[in-house]
Amino acid sequence: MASLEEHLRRLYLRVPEEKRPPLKRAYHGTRLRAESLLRQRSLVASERITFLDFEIAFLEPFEFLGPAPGQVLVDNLLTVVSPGTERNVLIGLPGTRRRFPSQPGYSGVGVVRALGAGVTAFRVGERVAGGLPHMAAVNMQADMLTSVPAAVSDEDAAFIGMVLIAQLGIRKAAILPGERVAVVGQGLLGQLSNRLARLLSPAEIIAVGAGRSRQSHALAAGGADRYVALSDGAQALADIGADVVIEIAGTADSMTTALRCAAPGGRVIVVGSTRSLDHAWLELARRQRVTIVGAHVSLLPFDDGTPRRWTLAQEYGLMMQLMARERLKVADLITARWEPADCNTFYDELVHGKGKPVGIVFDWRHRSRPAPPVVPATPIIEVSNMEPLKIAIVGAGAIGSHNARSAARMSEARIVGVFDANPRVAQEVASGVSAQAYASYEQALADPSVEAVLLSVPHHLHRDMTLAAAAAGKHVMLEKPFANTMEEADAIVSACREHGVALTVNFSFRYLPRIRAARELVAQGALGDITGIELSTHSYREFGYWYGARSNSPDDWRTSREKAGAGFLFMNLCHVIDYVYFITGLKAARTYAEYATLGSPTEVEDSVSISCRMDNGAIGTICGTTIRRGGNVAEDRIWGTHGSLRLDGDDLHVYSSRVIDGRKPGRWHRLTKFPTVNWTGEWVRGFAQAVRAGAPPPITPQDGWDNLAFITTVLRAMDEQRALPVPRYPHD
Amino acid sequence: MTDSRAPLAVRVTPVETMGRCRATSGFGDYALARVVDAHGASEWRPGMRVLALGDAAQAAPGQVVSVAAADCLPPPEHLDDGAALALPPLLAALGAWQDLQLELGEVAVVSGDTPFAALLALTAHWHGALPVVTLAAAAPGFAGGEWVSPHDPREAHSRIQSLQQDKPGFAAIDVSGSALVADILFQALPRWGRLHLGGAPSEALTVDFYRDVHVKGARVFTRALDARSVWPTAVAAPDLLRRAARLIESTSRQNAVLEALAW
Repeated sequence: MASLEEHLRRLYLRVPEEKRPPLKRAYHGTRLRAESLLRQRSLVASERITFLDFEIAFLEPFEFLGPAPGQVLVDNLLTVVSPGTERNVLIGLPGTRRRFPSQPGYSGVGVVRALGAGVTAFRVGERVAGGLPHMAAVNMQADMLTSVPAAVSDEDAAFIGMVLIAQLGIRKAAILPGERVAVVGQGLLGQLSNRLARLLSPAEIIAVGAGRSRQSHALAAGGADRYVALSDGAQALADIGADVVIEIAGTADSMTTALRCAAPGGRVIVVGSTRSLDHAWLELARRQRVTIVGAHVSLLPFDDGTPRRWTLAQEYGLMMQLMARERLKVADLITARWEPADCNTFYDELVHGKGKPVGIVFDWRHRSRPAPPVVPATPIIEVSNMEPLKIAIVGAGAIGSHNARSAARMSEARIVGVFDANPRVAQEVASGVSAQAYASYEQALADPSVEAVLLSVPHHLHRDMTLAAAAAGKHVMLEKPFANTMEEADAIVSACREHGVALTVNFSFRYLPRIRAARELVAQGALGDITGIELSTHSYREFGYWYGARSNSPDDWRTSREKAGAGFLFMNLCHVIDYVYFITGLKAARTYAEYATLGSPTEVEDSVSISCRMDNGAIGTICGTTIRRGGNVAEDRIWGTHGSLRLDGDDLHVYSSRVIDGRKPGRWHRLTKFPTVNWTGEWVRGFAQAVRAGAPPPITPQDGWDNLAFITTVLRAMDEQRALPVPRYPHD
Repeated sequence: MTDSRAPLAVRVTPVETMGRCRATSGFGDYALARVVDAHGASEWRPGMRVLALGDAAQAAPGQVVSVAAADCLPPPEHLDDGAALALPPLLAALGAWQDLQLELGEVAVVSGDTPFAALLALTAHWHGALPVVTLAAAAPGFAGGEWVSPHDPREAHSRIQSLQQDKPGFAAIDVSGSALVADILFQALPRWGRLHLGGAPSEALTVDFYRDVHVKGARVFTRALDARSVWPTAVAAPDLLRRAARLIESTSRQNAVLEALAW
């Protein structure tokens, strides 16, 4: 008969994957509580820094049982980062564990909270130090800890685990007074080795580092006597002639460096966890008659009766004695102090080599809750008691009538009239928004009550109608695309500037909540630096669409290259391009494309595939068609150095290695249930407020111009069969 | 290679502050001199400085005496006369701790109340010993360690044991030659302890070899720690001479050595 666990497991596997995490947590929580009752051990709530995946660290809550026999429950005060080891684990270097999740850290100081049965070496409230991991509270075996004398500060004691590693190397080196000692590697362990070597009165300690960023720490009181950088050259290394070389850099070529520093007959002590092969070392070692000694900390015995084999406890005790007598000082090596809640940011900087910290501590003493995420507000132009902008709707077809209805719902706008070449359609739409119908465009422009025109007309009419509106002193709201050609676009921009009227283009998808949410995520750094874009939008447009069957005013202008300018690119893809520009803040710099008309009764394209290079170097791929049967596909993917996002359907999915809005990094999060928004109305509102405030509109002429520039370059690139640069906006 | 018994004619150098190292009582006399005539020995040349034993140690400053080549040790040229004269006791001290393989963190005990004992304590500190214990009737010349008086042997033994705590290593050097002190040290020796009886014995010493050496796995050295023992060691171990010279080059260390020797 299957056990309860097996039953539970089978049930669990039937649950959809995205619903499993809370079930798993509930199971483990219940089980832990049951164990707590059975074993009569308390339940301890704590937090721990966990490596969730490559390059991803997170502070997560966790629970565990109080101390078992022989254990001590410790509340950590400070834990010290082992920069080399922890970075190597995070980036998955050869020789590291490469399995996640894992909990880092092995050096710290804390206070005893509780004792397991049989522990007599410590008392509650006493400070202890040892191989403490990066956790707020943790059970430790008593023999892995040592008492901290009152004369030793938290900062000094916290380094115990790191000092142990260096100390073992120094002990194996058996430095004699008067010997010359070189320490290769000036990270934290190298700095500690300098100071420990000093205790043995060598004639000289030479610190050898890759660069000079740590020279001042190396030469501080109690440290090395002089500093040699690798950039000083091979002869400078050979001139060192050290009797003892402590190799503690752990880089690919550090053994060779160490051997070069050694005098003939010298000793090289391997402390760095060098995980790479270096084939040149043997010849060097043989020539120099060097003895090489390993000094890994795992060689330390816990309990050993062999003469002069120091146990862990004895080494710890010696360290505390040296610190208490101030013969060993290390607290000044702390160059960075981090709150555990910021570990995600810290490890991101460590992985990417930002800064050159030496000693880094997590301070568990004053943990604050992370501040609530600050979501940058969408800029709103505040206009009090605003007079609605009076707008004439020009073009009342399918899109124009939608625009009219959307605008009419906004208090910032009032539709004062409607014009369409089809008088019946104009009258219908005008009635629907309680406005008059104009007999001609000129009549609309002549109406003094009209402040702005909203042009939803065939693309080839954009320029002339905009110029006329601008000359009449009317602000212009243009449906996309801006125009059919760049010359037309330049004329539009110039005319509006000349006549001092505002100009905008309808890229109102920017007002969709999920688009704005995506932009906020990028702005918060969820993706890091953008490195790739992949846009895919496919649908099926029946023949009738091209003849205006979906419109209240059927017309075949969309099939005409002269009138429409382009097909799929202008009709649909321009929106996607615009909101990707909006989300990322990037623009295309170079492009090549293939396009064709493969299934539509048009002169314009119905299929396109575009490659582009963005202005930050990211690479983009855009693929779309209006002749794909089997269901619509609309999926936009954007990714960067730290994460990815995906827009599909009505949802937004985000994956980040960073903690964004408190979300656990290293997993996909689905953002859904966005509010319904009148996005066209928001576009109108934004424009109206800008006009009243005398400010640039949220969607500027440059946005329209740049969008058109990209699309026309795409078309030209195909026609000329070569990649082309995308022109830059010239109207600054 | 010169026959080590071949004589060299040396003129003893007058050194105002050191004389003939009279302060290192018990260590043995030696002097700083310059070679006058090497009698054809190629590795010696007239004018070369030497630290010399034998008749040179008893001669007056400026006097020319004949000394066996084996009793001559050339100090490094770059050391001044004061530093050079400090070399022999320093070599003896460093060599003794090296024989005992004193290492970082171990307990080091020095018994004797001569300046040479103070130098032994200082060099134990240089080896990283913690603590350095001086077992002597008078306050030690080395102030950086612990002082135990042998006046009450039982109390002294108990105190030394408490200073050992649970250290895995114990090394001691006696230059007092006192049987009472040696007895304290033998009893205080822990398992695998190391002891060097380096002083000239002033009285007969009775040792329970079974209890204090055999069962404990102790290691006992008996080479006299005096001037005469240094010369062959320095010749046989050029590394030791090189290290000592490097140490004495440092002004602070040289001052510490001279202070210990009370020069």
